[in-house]
Amino acid sequence: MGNTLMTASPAGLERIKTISHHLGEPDWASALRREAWQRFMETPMPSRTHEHWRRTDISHLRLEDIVPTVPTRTPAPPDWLEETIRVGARRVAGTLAFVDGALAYSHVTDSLRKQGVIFTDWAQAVHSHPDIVRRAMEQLDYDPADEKFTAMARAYATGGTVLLVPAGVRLTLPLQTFFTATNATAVFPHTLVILEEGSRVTLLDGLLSPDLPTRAFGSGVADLILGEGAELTYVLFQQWGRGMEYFHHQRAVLGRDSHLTTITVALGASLSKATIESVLCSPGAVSDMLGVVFGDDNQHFDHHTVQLHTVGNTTSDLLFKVALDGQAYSAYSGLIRIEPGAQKANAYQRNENLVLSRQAHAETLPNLEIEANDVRCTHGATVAPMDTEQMFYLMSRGLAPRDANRLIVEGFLQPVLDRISAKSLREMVSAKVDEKIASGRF
Amino acid sequence: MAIRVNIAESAEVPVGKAIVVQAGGRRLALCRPSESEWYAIDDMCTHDGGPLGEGELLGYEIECPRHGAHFDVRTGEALTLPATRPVNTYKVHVEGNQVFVELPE
Amino acid sequence: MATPQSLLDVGTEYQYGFRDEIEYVYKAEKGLSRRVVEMISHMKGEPDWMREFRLRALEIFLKKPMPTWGNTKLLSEIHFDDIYYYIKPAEKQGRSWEEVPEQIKNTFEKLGIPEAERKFLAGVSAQYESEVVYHSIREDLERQGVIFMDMDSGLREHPDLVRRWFGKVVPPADNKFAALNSAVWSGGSFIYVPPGVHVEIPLQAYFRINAENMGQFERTLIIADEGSRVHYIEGCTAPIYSTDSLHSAVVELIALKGAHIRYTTVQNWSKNVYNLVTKRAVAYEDATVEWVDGNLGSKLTMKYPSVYMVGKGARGDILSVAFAGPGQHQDAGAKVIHAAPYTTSTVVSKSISKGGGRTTYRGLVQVDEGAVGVKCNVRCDALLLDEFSRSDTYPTMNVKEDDVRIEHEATVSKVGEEQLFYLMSRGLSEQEATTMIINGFFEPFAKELPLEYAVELNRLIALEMEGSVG
Repeated sequence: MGNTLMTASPAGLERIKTISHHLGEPDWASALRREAWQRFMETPMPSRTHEHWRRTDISHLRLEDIVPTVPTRTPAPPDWLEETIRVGARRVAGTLAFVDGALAYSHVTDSLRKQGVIFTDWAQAVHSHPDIVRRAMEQLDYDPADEKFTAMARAYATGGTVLLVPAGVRLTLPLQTFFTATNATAVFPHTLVILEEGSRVTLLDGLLSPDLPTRAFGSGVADLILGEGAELTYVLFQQWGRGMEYFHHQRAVLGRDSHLTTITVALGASLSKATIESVLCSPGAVSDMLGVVFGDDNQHFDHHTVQLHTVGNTTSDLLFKVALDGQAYSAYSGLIRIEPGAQKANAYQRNENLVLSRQAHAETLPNLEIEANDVRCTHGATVAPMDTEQMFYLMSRGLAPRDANRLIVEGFLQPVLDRISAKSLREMVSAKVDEKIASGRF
Repeated sequence: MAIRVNIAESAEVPVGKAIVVQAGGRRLALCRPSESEWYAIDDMCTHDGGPLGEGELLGYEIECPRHGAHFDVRTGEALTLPATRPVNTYKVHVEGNQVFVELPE
Repeated sequence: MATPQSLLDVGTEYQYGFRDEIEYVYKAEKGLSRRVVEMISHMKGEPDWMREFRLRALEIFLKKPMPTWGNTKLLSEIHFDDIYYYIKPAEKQGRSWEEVPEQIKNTFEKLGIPEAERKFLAGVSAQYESEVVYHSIREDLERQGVIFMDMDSGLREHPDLVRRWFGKVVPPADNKFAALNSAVWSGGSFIYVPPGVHVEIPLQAYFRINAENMGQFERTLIIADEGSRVHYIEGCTAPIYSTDSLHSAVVELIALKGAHIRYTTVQNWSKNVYNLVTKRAVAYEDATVEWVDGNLGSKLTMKYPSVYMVGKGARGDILSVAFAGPGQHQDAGAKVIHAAPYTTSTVVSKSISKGGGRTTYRGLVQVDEGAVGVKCNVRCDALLLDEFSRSDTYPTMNVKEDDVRIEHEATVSKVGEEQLFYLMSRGLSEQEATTMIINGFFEPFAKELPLEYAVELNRLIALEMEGSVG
């Protein structure tokens, strides 16, 4: 069976070999790539009748024809990216930047290095810390609904970040990585975060590019592993240019008494579909999931969140805010699942949609599956237009309608952005959100 | 102005049936309730996007194969729930054995 | 706290589980075929169009796959070949209870139907297996032109009205079970209320399955003409058998301009009945449709009453209450489709699971393009009484218009410890306190019922709760 598949599409497999060779990967790493590729080829394309894929049409995608570019040289970050890096540089402990899958910029403070923090690119990590990376990779599960895309991302990943924070190390300054596409038509970002016992860090993953001249494709994965008592704030900032069709799967596994805050900010891409999952599998784990989506023109967003409580005495909270203008479409679906025996699990979920245009289209599907009784689970969802009373009030204070509109949308989204505690990151993200709102038709 | 597109040969559509045709970037259900009567509507149920052209033609009514909504192929009117909105209709001409449809530009 | 064993014991005290030995007038062969469908149509002396309608529906049923969502395991255990699709219990329909065969009359006596009729109903229809065996309507209503009869008589006596609406709200190809009902339907109610007539006292239908492996497929069509009002109540029970029965109804409601329909269901099938029902209403300009839907019995219920608001200012209100005990899955919900401007709707769902029972809320709120000024509020509350039970909530909100306000909220929790503690400090036992809290939880449903039904509901809950705590 494997052989027929290989002859059917040798391009992908050849490309994997080239990448592996070029990066000088150890055997175990290329074996993992091949395994993922095999899985990618064997998994059928998800069908539209599958609940998870009902709201995003992918019938035009020919995944088998897409191959990653081999990062053969070290590119320089484009000017706009250098600017973004420079603005925050003084208030972050480390920055990585990838251009078309190759590491283009790397800066890590001495103090970070001294504390034993590993913050490096994937290609480096498989050499410098093979045991840690290998162990983590071999434990990872594939989500059945997203298997085609996650397997593809793991097979073709070039670039991407590996972050390991040793036990007890609590960083006050955040870390940031940027992943951009200039010439590449396919990107496969990969992030692996391992927080050992009692450690703490904030990481921003920025996926961004200017508008792309041709259609581009991306499939990314982020694996977050939190040890006992660890605290992670993870910001996924997605601002791909138009033309990008991007698929993302983020999965966090929470250890005992650990605390995860994820903040997903989705502004860009023509089509963006993401699964954001927290697995609460040890008592005392707490997961806060936040999201901001702002869509205009005919952008298509499809976000799926999972709060999976496999054991009791765990808590999860979620707030996803979606603002839609133009002909934009957003589907938000969220699952809270409490498994049998997970007593004293508390889970909350809230999705708010602000619809700014008659042609915009919002769907929301907040789901609960509860199999334990000593629990408290609540979800809520709203869809509403611009509040005319607020508008009236602001305009009576002398604001032009355009400014009043902007203020209201910013006011709607800001409470989520305020949860990014690292000031430099919060300011950067808020500025980009405001910029997009301001560029609208208001 | 409308544009005329040749979409089928008349022999391709059995009397009392509908077929699916592609024209000007649209999918249409081309319906032939009797030997000399031709109608074209969007091949998309206004309820759930079902493929109307794959449904059964019962006189002038076409039935969506997905959830059973009926539409009048002459007017596009939704005759039963779960559809509540009409489907677009297009003018059809037959010249010789060729079938043409008028599409908006 | 409860032990697993005591939980398994409750719910077995279903008081309507008795069965009667009946000599049937006619019993079709088991299984579904073209011949059975033709025979049903022939015995009823139906017009050709209805026979054709049935036969086409049969083809659709055979072609359509089983649902791939919901409780697919339980659904896969339905043996369509092992079901009686038509049983005729009596030669003719009674106009007075004296005309109903003794055995069958006794059944309805035990269920308290004649008594309820005397006390608080304007009309009663009693269906036994496939046919309505008793029917009455108050003379004053008849004089006002109100039609209330079984669906078969409706087809015979009001063919134009029936043909105009039958299968227009729920077409046969809507889903597999609607197709099945369309092929083999028998009995059910046909109601027409003329313009401006207000039927202030409820009309009631009672459905009884008695035979083993029975399939009951009643079909109900209610047309409320402009500015009229009507309240319809249905109840149902069946004996306990070790094999399963199937109840698959189709209910179509049409509320014309300014009309008001309230449809109340107290579903209390025995726990060997599959209850797979399609209920849908269409509300025209300024019309209101209310579904009050209580599900206590059955093995698996799949039922999502819906209101299509197609006229400006229409309103839909759905109250859904479910109780799932051991071996039960109540997969219920509500759908509100706002297809016109300034339409409003509310959905309230309340569910309780215990003893390994499972409740599911499945809902849809849809706002079509052009439906400006829409308001909708959905509220779901689920209680889980023990750690073996399960509750799911699957709402969908699909909004294609900006000037709308949609709110959805749901909670799942256990019976509040503070409430329990308070009541027990007042001298109530844990069981009494729990029962009281549950009664309070169901209060919004109970208060929509005529008093006699509400009392019955509380009694049922007390029975279900017996021995479940302590």
